[in-house]
Order: sequence, then structure tokens, then C-alpha cells
Amino acid sequence: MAHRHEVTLQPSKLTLGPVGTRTGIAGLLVGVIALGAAALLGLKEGPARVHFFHSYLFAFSVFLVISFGSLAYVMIHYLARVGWSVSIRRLAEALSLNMFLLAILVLPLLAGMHDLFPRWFDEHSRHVDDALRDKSGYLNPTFFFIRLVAYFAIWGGLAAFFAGKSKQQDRTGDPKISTLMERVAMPGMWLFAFSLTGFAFDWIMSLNPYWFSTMFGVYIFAGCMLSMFATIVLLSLFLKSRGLIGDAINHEHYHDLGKWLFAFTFFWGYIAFGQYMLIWYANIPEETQFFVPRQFGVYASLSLLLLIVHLVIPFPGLISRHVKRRNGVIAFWAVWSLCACIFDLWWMIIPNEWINQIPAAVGHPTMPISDALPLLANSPTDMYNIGARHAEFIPVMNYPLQPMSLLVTALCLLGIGGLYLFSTMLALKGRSLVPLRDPRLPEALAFENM
Amino acid sequence: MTTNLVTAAPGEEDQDPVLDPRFTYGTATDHITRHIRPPISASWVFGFGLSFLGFMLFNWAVTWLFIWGVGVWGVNIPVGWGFAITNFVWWIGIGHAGTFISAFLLLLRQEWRTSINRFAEAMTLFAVACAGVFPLLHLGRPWFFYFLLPYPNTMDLWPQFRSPLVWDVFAVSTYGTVSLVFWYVGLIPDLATIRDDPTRSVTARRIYGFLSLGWRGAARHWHRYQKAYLLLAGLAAPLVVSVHSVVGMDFAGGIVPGWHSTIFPPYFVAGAIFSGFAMVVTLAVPMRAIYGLQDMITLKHLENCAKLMLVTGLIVCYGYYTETFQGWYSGSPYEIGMMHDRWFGPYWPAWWTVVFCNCVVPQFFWSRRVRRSPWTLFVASLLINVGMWLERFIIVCQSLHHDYLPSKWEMYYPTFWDYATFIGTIGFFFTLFFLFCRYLPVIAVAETREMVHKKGRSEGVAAALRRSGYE
Repeated sequence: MAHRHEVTLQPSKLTLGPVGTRTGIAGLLVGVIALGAAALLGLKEGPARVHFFHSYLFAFSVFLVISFGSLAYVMIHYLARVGWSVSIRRLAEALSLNMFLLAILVLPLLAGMHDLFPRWFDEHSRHVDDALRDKSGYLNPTFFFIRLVAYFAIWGGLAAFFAGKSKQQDRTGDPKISTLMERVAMPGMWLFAFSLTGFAFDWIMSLNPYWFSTMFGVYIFAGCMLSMFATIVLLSLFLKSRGLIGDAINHEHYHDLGKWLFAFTFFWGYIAFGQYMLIWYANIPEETQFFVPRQFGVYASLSLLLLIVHLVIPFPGLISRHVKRRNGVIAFWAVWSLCACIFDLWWMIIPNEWINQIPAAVGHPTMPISDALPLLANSPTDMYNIGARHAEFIPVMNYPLQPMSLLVTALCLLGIGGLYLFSTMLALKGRSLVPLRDPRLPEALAFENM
Repeated sequence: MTTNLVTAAPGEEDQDPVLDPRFTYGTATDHITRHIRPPISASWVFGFGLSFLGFMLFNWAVTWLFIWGVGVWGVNIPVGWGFAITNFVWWIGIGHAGTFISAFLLLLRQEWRTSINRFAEAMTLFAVACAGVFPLLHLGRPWFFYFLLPYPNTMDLWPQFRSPLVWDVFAVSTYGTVSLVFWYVGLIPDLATIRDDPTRSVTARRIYGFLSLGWRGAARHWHRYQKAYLLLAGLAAPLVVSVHSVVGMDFAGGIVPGWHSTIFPPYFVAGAIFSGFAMVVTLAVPMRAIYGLQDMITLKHLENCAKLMLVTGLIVCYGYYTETFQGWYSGSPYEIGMMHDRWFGPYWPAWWTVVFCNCVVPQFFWSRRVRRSPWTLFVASLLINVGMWLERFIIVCQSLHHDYLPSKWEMYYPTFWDYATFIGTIGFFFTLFFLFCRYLPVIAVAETREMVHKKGRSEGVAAALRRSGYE
């Protein structure tokens, strides 16, 4: 529109400088100390060890999905030839480059495979069970590791390609680089969709290897995008608070990022409802086994809380235009959304540490979980209360909620988070904070919503 | 300090106009409305006549159905939901593109929607009309259709509110109502434009005048109109998602292998928009050629439709993939048996045609050349229409014919009356569409004039940006 604000780019504000070094080192220190403390507290025999690996996987997933979302966002950016958000893209590139850090951070999990996947990782237990024997073509350690290597090769390769080419464009300003990236983004998106789904099935769904849902990949994708947009809002606001970036990212961009937060909050709700409703409605034990244990005892309240935190509160909260155009308020909702995504992953991953023990608790260690659940319950008509004869299982179930267990979970989150921050600063260090010579940058700078 | 910036965009298509820049208010109006002035062309009479024959076939088939009952169709146990539900899902899916274009794209400020929203909305209405007929005909005793509605009655009987089939009644009727209101509200200024055309006969002007509800184009009228239109768009946008989600749940709520899949709601929505855009292209390509609307429905529009078909087609393929993979991964012998039957059983030609039409054909849209050649797109869109119909056929019939009891397995053979009803609705659809083309402007006149206005303004902005030193 004719009367618009003047946006100028100041090179001094576009390099990270000492802010990055300070933040990065702080992140590194916090990360190493927190992870070390978590390992010290968690790596004991028994339930503590199982809990440690579940907590680690949970924290790892929290940050992996942010990088997933960033990688998807960068590719969609080129596929759809987006203009408005070019000035934000560099941050997404940096977050996607954290795939390399995550490729290292996945290694400790390999020491805990038997704790995470007790039912199918061990050859013996896989073969005493018909259902697992049938899936052993997919759920077996060899193929699992081959897939893991392939996933990280795809994610790392794509992230390095897009971030590298974008950096190259900063030097040359060649519009052909954008065209090349558009071309690569086409197969890239295919590979991404399959590998993301694969990760969701391999690392989260197969924690309970009897359960399946075709929606699951989409469910994880919804979380990826929401947590990515929230992280980008927070990261850019942090950089702005340190006097960086200037007006290249302004309230017009936050307005649209806020719309995305709203859209994916709703999308998550839609996907979560679809999945829950259809499983509840059909009431097939193989499927309800995901939700039934999450309605035992205090977990029932936590499940309801997830619905409220992830959908009921942020949905009306994010509707208004005024919310999205004020930095402080949008920061609040970004923190909220990120917490909701973290809680969602906690809810998906952590309960498996005791769900996998249900068959043993009812005295049939090799029984499928869906068959064992009714035995644990009070009666077939009262599925959600644990029977008196299995009262000793209640402390097992509540173990992840003990203060010490919560501390380990929090330390894992803090530790991986610290390293993630360090790696993000490292990725931003060598490059301009805004893709300076992207041909669509003027479009982003001139962007207005109203 | 301003750094060196390149202003040339990498893709040439960015400069593609969504409207020929030479249009003025007058010429744009005239260009759109000249087709609804007399005389009636011979080609219109031929097209309308052919469609009307189809409509008569429909009436014949329905009359026959009412005389003899649903036994005239090929449905039986186990395939109790044959062509009728296949056609229902297909038609309601087609409708979705219209609402997507008119509501979603309006909220997303996609200005290119202007030239295609009117006829796409008309397409939605007619498709919903065709769709709505099938569940009613399928009732067995269609004269009791009102049992579906929750009305206070002496028998104290209520519909099963927990069933997606009942939600369907609410979803589809809401959808039909909102689409009609949205379409009509959008039409009001255009109806007034035709009313004010002095070359029309007095009767015609009276009728258009009555329909334009006293529109005078006053500032207050426009203000209220814009508000109402935006609100209706906000109301219609969730309907794009909800209606086909509920249709997906109609199936996924059942425990039939091949139906019960949690991904169905979003996968059905994507499939609906996919088939809807295919129908938009099927209608737009001949229409722009016959009416000479190439400078209003430009290659840019067709290209964007192709891109949307590509995106939604990929989502549909993803749905096929997860369904197949999870079918195996579930370890359930029924799921695995159903999937095996789908791939290699008696319906294999239909399934592999689905894969070809819905997964392979859209991949050609990666090519800019294909996206911009109207008749290639037209052929592709026909294939996608076929593919999406067969997909619903596979879901409805193949899943049912092969369920839990092997002794019950039975093939489904459609009868003449099944085909006649289906072809008849196509005739009904085109009868309405031909009438629409003849009596109403196929492109929104008022919105096009707004585009002409904005065009001048956006050129001003571009010039201002150049002056401010981005070059």
C-alpha cells in the first residue's frame, strides 16, 4: 500500500557477534552439566534406567520435531515460492542444521534399546509372540538401524544442501540458486514425508509395538509445525531483544507467524480428535490400548489437561489480530504452544515405560498389551481403574511422576535444549541473519497484512 | 544503508497476470455479461439438450426405483452400499473445490480466485444437489427421510447422535445452505448490473431487479455487503474441512477392514479438494474456449489449479501409502487379507487405475509446460475424475465384498438402473450448469472490477518501491 514504513537493512545488525558466542557457550555449559547430572541420576539398574532412556528419547524428540518442522518449512518455502517470510527463513535454516547435532545425540539411545523397546528388540521376546513375529520384517534391530542411518542421511543432506546454497546466494546473489532449490525441494518433500512418518512409527509408535494408527505420522507432523513456528517466534524475538535483525522481521511477520500458530493449533486439534474419536468409536482392543492406559488414575487428568492446554485455551487465545501484532503477547503464546507440544510428546512417550510392564504385572509377561489391559482393570466394565489385586502396580505407573523422575526428565530436556541452543548459535554464527540477496527479500521487507 | 538487492524474481510466471491489464471497468463488465444476452446460440441448445436427456434418464431411473424399491439396484449383502454411496461421496467431494476457492482463498487473500470463484461455487451447489439425492434414494423408504432429522415426535424416537451418519445429515445440509447463501450474496451486485443493462427486455430486467434485492450500489450497501461476505467466508471455511471429514468418518467409524483407518478424515478432505479442482479444470477449459474468456480465466488460474491438484494428490498418495503400510503392520489377518484382495483380487483393475490416475497422473503437474497447456490439463482432469470415482468405489464396494466372513464374500454387480442413476446425475449437473451459464454471469463482475481497480494501485506500489531504492 502506498503509505508504508521504510525498512532498511543494517549490516551491523545482521551478524550474530558476541551475543551468539555468549549464548552458545551458556547453552553448551548448561547442556553438558544437565545431561551429565541426568545420566548420574538416571543410569542405575531398574526402573530408573528405563525412565532415563524414555526421558532422553522424549527430550530428543522435542528438539528433533523442531528441526523437522524447520526443514519442512524451508522446503515449502521454495516449493510455494513464498515471499513474505524470506527474512525469517535463515532462522529456520539454522534450526534445520541442528540435524547434525541430533545425529550425534541419538547415539546414547542405542545403549537403551532394550529399555525402550523391550518387546520387539529382543529376538526371544519377538519370537514368542505371534503378532510381533508377523511384524518382525519391519521391527527388527538390523532394519531399524538401517532406517535410522537413512533418515539422518536424508535430513542432514537436505538441511546442509538448503542452508549451504542459501549461504552461497548471500555471496553471489544468483537467482538461479533459488530455482535449483525449488527443483531439489520437490523430491526433498517426498523423502521428508516418508522419513518423518518412518521416524514417528519407528521411535514413538513402536514403543508399544502392538498399537497402530494410520493418522500417527500426520499427528507428529502437526506437532512439528507448531513447535517450529513457536521456536522461530521466540528465537527471532530473542535476537531482536539483543538489538539484532532490526526491522527485517517486524510485527507484520509476527502477525502471520501468529496465524500459523493458530492454524496448527487447530490442525493438531482436528487430527487429535479424528484419531481419538475413530478409535473410541470402533472400540477395537488393538487400537484402544493406546488410550486406555492414558486414562488410568492421574493419567486421565493429564490427558484431559493435554486437550485443554493444546487446544481449548490457545484456540480462542490466538484468534485476535491484536494478539499477533504485539511482541510480548505473541511471545507468551509461542511459549505456551511450545509447552503444549512438549507436553504432547511427554504424554506419548513417557507412559510407555510402565505400559510395557503391564503384561508382567498381570503375570503373563509374553502376553500382548491389549490382552493384558483388561486383566489389570477392575472389571471389563470398569476399564480405567486398576483392580485391587494389582494395587502394587499403581506406584509403578506413577513412577514417572515422582519428583526425582520429573527431575531426570527436566534435566534431559534442559541438557538437550542447551546443546540445541549452542548448535543453533553455531549455525547462525557463520552467516547473515537474513538471506541478504535472496531475490524475494524485497517482498518480505515490504510485506503488510493490512 | 541499503544493501544490494536483486529485484528480478526467478520464476517468470510471477509476472503472469491474473487479469489482462488492458481491461477497464466497462470492458470487463461487458466481456463477462455479453454471453447472457439473447440470442441463444445453437451450441448452447445442443449442450443443454444433451444434458437434459441425461436428466430425463435420471427421472426415469428414480421413478423405476420408487416403483420397485432398491432391489432394482445391484446392492445386496455384503455390498449394501454400492453405487449410491460411491456417487454420493464423489459428488460431495467435487463440491469442495468451490467452497475452498470461494472461502479459503478469500480468507488467504488469493486474488486469483476472483475469475473462477463464481462458477466454482455454482459447481459446488449443483454437485451438492446431486450428492444429496443419493443417501435419500438409498433409504429404502425415502418418503421417511425426515426420520433423519431430530424433531420432537410422539414416539420419542431420536436419531443416534453418536453416529457419523447422522452428523452427515447435519453437515451436508449446513453445507448446502451456507454454499447457497454465500453464492447468492456474491451474486447480488452482479444481478443489479444486469438489471441496469438497458439492452435487456423489460421482463428480464424485472426478474433480475427482483432478485437483486434493491441493490443500488450505495457506499452503505457495499460496506455491509463486504462485511457479510467476509463473515460468510469465515463460516464456510470450516465447512470445507468438516463435511468431508464426517464423510470419512462414515466409513472409518465402522470396523470394516478398508474402512476403519484413523487417517480417513484429513485424507478424505484432501481427496475432495483434489477431485473438486479436477472438476473445476474440466469445466473451465472448455468454458473459457467457448466463451472467449482466456484473458480472464488465464493460464495462471489453470496453473494454480494444477498446483493445488498436485499438492492434494500427493496427500492422497500419502494416504494410500500409510493405509497399505499400516494394513500390513497391524498384523491383523483381516486387514492384510483386505489389502491383498485390493491389490490382486477381482477388483484389481479398478485399484490400479486409481493408483495410475491419482498418483501417477498428477506427477506430470511438476512440469510447467503441462500446467500451462489447457487441453493436456483437461485430459488429466478427466482421468483424475475417473480415478477419484473409482477410489470411492474401491473403498465402498471392495472393502465390503471381502469382510470378516469368507462364506459371505460376494461380488457386486451394478445393474442398468445403477448406471442410469449415476449418468442421470451427471445430466442433472450439466443441465443446471448450462442454465447457469446462460442466465448468470459465470465470472463475478463486481469482483473483477475491483481487480481492475487494484491493478492500477499495485502498479503504483511497485513504482514507489522502485523509487525507494530497492533496485
